[in-house]
Amino acid sequence: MLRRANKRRGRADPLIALINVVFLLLIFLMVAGTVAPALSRDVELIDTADPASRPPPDAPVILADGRLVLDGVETTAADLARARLATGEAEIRIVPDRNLPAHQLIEVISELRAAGATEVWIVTERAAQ
Amino acid sequence: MTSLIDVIFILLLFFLLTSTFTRFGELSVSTGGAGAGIGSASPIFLRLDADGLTLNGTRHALDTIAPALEAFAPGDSTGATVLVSVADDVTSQRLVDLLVLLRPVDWADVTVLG
Repeated sequence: MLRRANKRRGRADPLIALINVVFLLLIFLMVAGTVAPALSRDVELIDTADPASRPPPDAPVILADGRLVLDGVETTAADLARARLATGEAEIRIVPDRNLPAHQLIEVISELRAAGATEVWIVTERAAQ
Repeated sequence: MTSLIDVIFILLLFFLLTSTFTRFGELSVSTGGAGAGIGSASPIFLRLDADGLTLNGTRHALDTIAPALEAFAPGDSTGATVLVSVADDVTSQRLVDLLVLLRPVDWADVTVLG
């Protein structure tokens, strides 16, 4: 009886220890990591090989038809610049679709700068090397 | 015990599905808006269209633009303004392709015309 109980515990223990370690790892990743909000499902990012890498942006996307969308809500360049400048951020990042006509992109950038943005950054996708 | 494994599995699935593995890059674009002055005396004009570009009126392919631009490099360290204008049928991808090619040219002060 005693021996049988011992044997059963001996088999179960390593499994529980394993699960504990996995659980600790998971908790650590949950606390240490941040889940970035998805940009938009409709946007296809511009491919670049060279530019410097950066963490995922919390930035508005410009869809291929020229609509400016921030967190799923359509907005305008002037509103966006006002909201960003109100938080003390004078550099604005935008994520244009690769098929957006370039003159529309330039229009948006000019509007942002006219509204007070000191610098406008385009966020792209780094192509696999 | 089984329920514990279930919970861990669900959490694992959640993180697998929410993670993003896209690697982002960024580059700065300066546009010449109303009233933007031009610094240097003789700017270099680039016009980008769907199947190539013209550099001060001479036609070039997109991938040979960096060497072609070297002919216009100022001898001293002053730098020169490069004005980029785009045709109507140019996509953002193409404009960014050009801007990426112009990035290593350190004497060029690239301005996109709006």
